[in-house]
Amino acid sequence: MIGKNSASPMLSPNHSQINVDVRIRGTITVSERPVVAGQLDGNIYADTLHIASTAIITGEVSAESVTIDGKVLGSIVADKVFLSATAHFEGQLQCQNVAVDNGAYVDAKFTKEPATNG
Amino acid sequence: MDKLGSKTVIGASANFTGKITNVRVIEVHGKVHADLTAEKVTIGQAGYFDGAIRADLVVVSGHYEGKMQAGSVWATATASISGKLHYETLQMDRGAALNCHIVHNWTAKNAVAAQTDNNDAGLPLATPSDKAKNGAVPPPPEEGA
Repeated sequence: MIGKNSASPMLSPNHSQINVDVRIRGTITVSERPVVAGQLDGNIYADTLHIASTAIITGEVSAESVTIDGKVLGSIVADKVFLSATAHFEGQLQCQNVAVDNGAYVDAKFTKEPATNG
Repeated sequence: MDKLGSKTVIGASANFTGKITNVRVIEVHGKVHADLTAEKVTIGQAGYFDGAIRADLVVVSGHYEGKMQAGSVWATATASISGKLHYETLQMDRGAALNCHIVHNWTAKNAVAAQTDNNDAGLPLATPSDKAKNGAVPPPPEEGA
């Protein structure tokens, strides 16, 4: 829809990203693959979520699949969670599958329950 | 971060409510209810933005509602703007729909000065002593003199 150079040249408009240094407070709902690299105080609901190493999320994360390289303080509800070596997670985790890389900081309560939403 | 480029994007399926700060370049293709201060804001054709914007450059191809204060505004053919628009330079393509209060000559400097610098007393045009030298006005009585 936007690809017909109507305005300035753009990235795929479906791809959401919150850049480094950006601070967001509130709730964001996305149905594709957002990348969060900034700071979010609030809740994020997505299908597949990538939390980059520079990101700090305080609040609730809900997704089908989450890859965490950054910092999450709060709760995660997901089907699949991958905490990489640079991840820092404190809070509660509710998921079906979880993988934690060697080196990740995790201080959380894990429960295995079906994810309520994605 | 090179992987991300230098901008923040709210994708077409995204629905955001809240506050966005510290952003420089942002593209909105989804639905956003927020207040925003940025250097460059782009609202894509499918984008819907509701809230205040302060920016150097705003390109609107979608729908905007709220109070916009911008150096340059480009309303493309698919733009639809309602609310208030304060601008220095405005480009409006054929087909753009503006249903708003439009005020020219808004500058970021003026707005910032008006907000932060209320004590103009530090820089009066003519000090009492200047006037006294010219003999136009007698020198004001000194306190306690």
